[in-house]
Amino acid sequence: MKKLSVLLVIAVLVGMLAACAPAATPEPEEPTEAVPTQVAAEPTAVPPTAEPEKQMRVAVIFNTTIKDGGYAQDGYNALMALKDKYNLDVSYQESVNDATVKDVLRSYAAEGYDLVYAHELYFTDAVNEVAAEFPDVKFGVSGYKADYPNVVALDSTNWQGAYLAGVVAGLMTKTNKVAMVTVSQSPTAYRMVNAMYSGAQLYNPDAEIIHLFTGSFDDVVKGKEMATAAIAGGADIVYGNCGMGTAGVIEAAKDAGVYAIGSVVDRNPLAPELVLTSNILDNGRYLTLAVEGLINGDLEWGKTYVLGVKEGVEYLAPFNAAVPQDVIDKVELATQDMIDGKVETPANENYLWLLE
Amino acid sequence: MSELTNIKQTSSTFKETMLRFAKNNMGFVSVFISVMAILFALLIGALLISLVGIDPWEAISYLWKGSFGNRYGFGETLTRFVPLLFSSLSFTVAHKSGFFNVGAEGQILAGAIGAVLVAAYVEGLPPVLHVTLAILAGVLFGAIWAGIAGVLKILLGSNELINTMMLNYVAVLLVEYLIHGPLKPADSYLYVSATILPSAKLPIILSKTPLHLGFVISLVVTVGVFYLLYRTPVGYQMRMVGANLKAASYAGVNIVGVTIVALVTTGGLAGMGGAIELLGTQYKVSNGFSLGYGYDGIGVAVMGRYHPVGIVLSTLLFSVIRVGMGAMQRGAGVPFPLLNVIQGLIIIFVIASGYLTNKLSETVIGGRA
Repeated sequence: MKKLSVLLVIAVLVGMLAACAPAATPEPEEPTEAVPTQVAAEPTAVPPTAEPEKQMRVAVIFNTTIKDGGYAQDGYNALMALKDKYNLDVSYQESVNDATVKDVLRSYAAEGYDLVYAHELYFTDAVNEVAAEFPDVKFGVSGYKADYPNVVALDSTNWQGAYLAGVVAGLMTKTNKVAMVTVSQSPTAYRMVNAMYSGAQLYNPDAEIIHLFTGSFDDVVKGKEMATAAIAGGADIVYGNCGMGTAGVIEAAKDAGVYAIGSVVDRNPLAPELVLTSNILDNGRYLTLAVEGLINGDLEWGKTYVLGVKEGVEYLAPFNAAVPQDVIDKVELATQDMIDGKVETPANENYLWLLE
Repeated sequence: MSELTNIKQTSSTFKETMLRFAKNNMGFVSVFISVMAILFALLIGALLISLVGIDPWEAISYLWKGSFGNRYGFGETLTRFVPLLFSSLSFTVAHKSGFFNVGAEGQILAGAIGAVLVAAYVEGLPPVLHVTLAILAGVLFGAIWAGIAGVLKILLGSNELINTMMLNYVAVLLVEYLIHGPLKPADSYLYVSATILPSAKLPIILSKTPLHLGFVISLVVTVGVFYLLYRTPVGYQMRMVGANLKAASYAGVNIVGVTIVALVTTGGLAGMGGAIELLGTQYKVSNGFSLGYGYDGIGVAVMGRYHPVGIVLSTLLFSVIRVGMGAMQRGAGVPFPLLNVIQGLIIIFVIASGYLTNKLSETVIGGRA
């Protein structure tokens, strides 16, 4: 009797799982259709540039899912575009964590991929450690150091976009006070603030920066609080570069009816009338540059590339209607100066206006 | 209703035959049920995989190809084996001594913290001594972490299930705090602890793989744990307390003393697992250091039926699943969320099979196997 009831319970459990599970699967269905692993490309799809006899094999590691709407998704989209363009044999592993990243890297290296790429700053040390064990395999990382001749690291300047945003802000402010909300007071943040300050000063020597920070990458409420305080203090343009908090900064601008500037992705849809522009950080470019560098042989391995406006990693999103042509022209001039290397890297130990 | 009665009647003779067979071959039957549970889970997994348009047999074959099909995978599987084995040993000791330790996750982290303090900051020691001291520090910290729940239980009678679980969260946040502040090297961009010194690293025992000496240590410790439980007076008392607290008390067993020994052992084992994971593969403490080894260890111990051979085999199975899942993603492109579902299915089925085996042995033998 008892045994039978247990069996029944299990049968019901199995039935339930079988019934529930398909409902849960349509979500991952979409990416898998695009998963190209082990699928030989049709001969007609081979572009003239690719060698038909041997496909290049590229493996990419992400630390979140490819549907994260941010960093990993940018990398994944870039990977798929590269795959189609160069007929690559690609594979990827998502949601890899710190504890297993070295194993994943080694597995890929042992499976004979031409390029093993980790699209995550946090994996920089792991990539360098594993690269030492596989001198014949090329490694890439969206990170800050390349210790071995078979590694390339690609990072952004993290300030050039803020400089251009500063140019816009300096020209558009009426009160000469621009608020900037970042996550912290780290050296990276100081450099960003100073870049914005220099940019604003370029055409408006009276421009001041009010710097505030939230202490967290995902605190939307804090972002809004900080921006609201700055607006009360006289700022008429708020710039948010504080992760998810940026949405809060724009929210504050909406409440007060002042202009805002977004960061990393185009934030214009949040407030089309008020978001003048956003300084875009195109994370997918790292991977594109690494793969194309390997194909064309023009990337130096063993080197850390710090990329910015010139390389197309950082740029401003399309301006909204509030930005006059005169301002757009001046930003273009500043962009050209940046590309020509005429803009100095700002200091990162303290605020420029305190150092002067 | 009448149909159900019919089934019962027609199956009664069949049932009797099966029960007689089960009674005579309980060991075989319990293994058979476990294996069937895994096959069932994989079957449903294969169905789900085919629904997203991937060849299920190719995908499932990567479970084997990734874990034992090549040299690196083999080494990786046995490396994943180590912390999981310690975790399940920890749960086994607690279970045999009559309390429920779901805090192995926290104790692993505590052990890693203890070990990194010695391994990264104590300089100038010869390797053997350095490794030994770092492991002992891990044991100590793990034991203290379990000891907190133990003291609360002994002094206040508070439930160790809740306390050990709560302490997991405390440990996670403690690690978070430490890697953001005191343990973070000044020149590091990232929030991780300092890297351990070369003299504290466990040697690799199979070249071109991550397999380290901790694997051998884990097997030796397994023998030691079961020797303690079944061949020593303390172990006998621990099992007595676990089986029947009142009887043990009546027989003059020092309940408090035995409970303390059991807690120190269970926490120490988990802490040792954390220390060896640190010294053998990860070399630094990061945010996702433990990956749920503490929780998986419970499933492993239940599936292994608290038996040394059973535990080693089920640990191996869980390691194969962990490593093979990565290969399924890399090789066949199975999406990560779906892998989580399949992993969950396997665990549910295995635990259900443990329940089924228990019920069956109660029916045929009249007691727990």
